[in-house]
Amino acid sequence: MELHPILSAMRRNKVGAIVIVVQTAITLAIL
Amino acid sequence: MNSLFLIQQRLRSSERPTGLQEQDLFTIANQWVGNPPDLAAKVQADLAALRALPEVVDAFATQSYPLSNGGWDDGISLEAGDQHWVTSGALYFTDEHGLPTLGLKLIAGRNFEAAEIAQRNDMEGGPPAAIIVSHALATKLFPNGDALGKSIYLADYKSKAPIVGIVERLQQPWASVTNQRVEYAMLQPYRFVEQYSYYVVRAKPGQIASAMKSAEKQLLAISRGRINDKTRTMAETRQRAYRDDRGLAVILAFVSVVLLIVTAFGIIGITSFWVSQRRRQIGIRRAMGASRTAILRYFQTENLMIASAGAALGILLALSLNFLMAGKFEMARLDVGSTVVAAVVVLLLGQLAVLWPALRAASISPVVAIRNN
Repeated sequence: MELHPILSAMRRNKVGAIVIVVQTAITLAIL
Repeated sequence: MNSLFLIQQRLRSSERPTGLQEQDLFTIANQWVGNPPDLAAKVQADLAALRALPEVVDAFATQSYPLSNGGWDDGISLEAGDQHWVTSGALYFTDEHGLPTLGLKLIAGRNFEAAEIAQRNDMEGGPPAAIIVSHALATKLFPNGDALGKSIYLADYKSKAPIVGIVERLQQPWASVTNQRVEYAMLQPYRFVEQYSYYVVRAKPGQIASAMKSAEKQLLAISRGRINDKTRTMAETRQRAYRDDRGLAVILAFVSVVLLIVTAFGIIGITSFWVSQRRRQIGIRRAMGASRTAILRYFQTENLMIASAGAALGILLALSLNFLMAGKFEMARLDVGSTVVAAVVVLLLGQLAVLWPALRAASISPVVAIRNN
């Protein structure tokens, strides 16, 4: 599995990726 | 992971052993109506009648018992007149029947002797002639392990009392006490004679239900000038003592589940949006020979990477949250176990949530690549 295309796709959709990261982090902290 | 940790802690504390033979024990709250002058004789008559019941092993009267959530405690020092207590311990009044009734395990020394037992009520009573302490309290007071035979000074009496026995375990009456202090407790040799007291009764194995009925009937037969409410098994007392903790655990679990569901929908929403955004690219990749599995794996890997970053950030967040709470409240430090469990749960949740949009992406036809819209 190549990680490069995933990373470049994420770079273009930064907001979405950041939203999921933050949401996951908060869920984990409170859970 | 803070909720998981709290739930786990609450549930664990509700299983702490009291040191008592709980399955055969029950308690009767006995309140005399008016103020009979011959209270001491009445209490002794009650206890004699209870002990004589065929289903009963032994019984005694006291002012408090473990998990009753109400009791007394007293400061303990090792020098006369020392205002700085080493610690404080919960105290239970009992005659020589207390130890066998409760089923406490004596690991050193002996039970109270008849000559040591004095009478007392709520307000008045001389200093105790002897003390039986829990092993935890003995170790706290005398870390070298030579507590037996030593004397301690109780703040209430300003006189010393020798430790004549050590029991393996004896819990305080309060359920909310931390693990560290919960077994700081002692027995003092008193016949507790008061208008309101508890009779602690030990039934023969397996006969607790009928023993409770006989005991209540017997007490009413002796005198009707009393109120016997709250006749409870120790099991019921334990359940009541930890009811709030269980309630909190249920609420936290519910909130946690809701939180997981909301997060899952968040992931599903954003990934679905990405899939429809990239329909054309996915179609081209399919046309160039990428398999459905490759597309599926693409979104799964993407989610794993994002969720891992989230988990790493989350662990940092949880640790700092716990650090704050541990500083402000009496809260234990997070353990590695719940950290790992919470991280795994969050990663699995991400994989589960991404499955549906990823499957939709995998089913995009290669024809999309040549469609012109």
